[in-house]
Amino acid sequence: MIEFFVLLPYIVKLMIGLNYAAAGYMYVAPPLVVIVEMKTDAINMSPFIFISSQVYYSDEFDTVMRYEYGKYLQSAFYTPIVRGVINIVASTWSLLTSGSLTSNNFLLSNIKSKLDILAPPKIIVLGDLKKPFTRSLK
Amino acid sequence: MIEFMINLPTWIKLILGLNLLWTSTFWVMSEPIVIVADTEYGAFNFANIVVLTSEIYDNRDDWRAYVLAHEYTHFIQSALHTPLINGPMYSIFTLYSKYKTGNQWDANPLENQATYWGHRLTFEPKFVLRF
Repeated sequence: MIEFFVLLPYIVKLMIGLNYAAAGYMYVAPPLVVIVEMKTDAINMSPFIFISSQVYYSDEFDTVMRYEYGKYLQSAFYTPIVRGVINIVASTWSLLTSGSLTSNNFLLSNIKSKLDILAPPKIIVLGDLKKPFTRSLK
Repeated sequence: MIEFMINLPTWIKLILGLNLLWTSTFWVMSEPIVIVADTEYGAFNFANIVVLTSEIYDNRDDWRAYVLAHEYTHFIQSALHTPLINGPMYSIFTLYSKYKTGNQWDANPLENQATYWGHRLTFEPKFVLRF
């Protein structure tokens, strides 16, 4: 194991370090929600959760946020890189068994079944990134 | 797993989070900060920090090379086990070694590993502070 650490290229060590830092952050601090203009409802790159401004200002926000908070907790538990790898396995499994990436995905099913308890105690909103720019044009 | 995470007490989340954040510094920096200071101990390691006396650090001999590599190995042990696990693990092995041999090194697997790699690794520190 000592040799393994010494021989790892620095870029890999950096990625592992940032992976630990992200997981550590998720244990001690709330999700960082970034509001952006995009077609998808949300993209989770824990600890950042990118949410479409359309969703943010609608009634869907509560459900989408709970769903993304589930992914946030999974990322804290497994660390983001490991969760990413598990998600590839889960999506492949879902694709092979149901023909869809999400309908039989065990990571996402776990979240869906717990939506009622997945209310983040706090979130940090990093702002509507598009609107201030639009306003300045008016 | 989700219920487990939600039900974790805040103080445990804080300890786990700080441990992971601390561990990240080992990987991002990838080597310890060496402090050259005259202490009553020749050399020791605490997490990201290695303390050496100037007598050891300034003599460019095999002993210096061995001590630096030995302490670097302890740094790597902390990076791999994370400080939260490595600290208590070292303490348990120290007690075991003291019970078995009367000192903290001879039957301590972490010290034996550091001694083994101390003769095989080369480590020239980039971050050196002098006091």
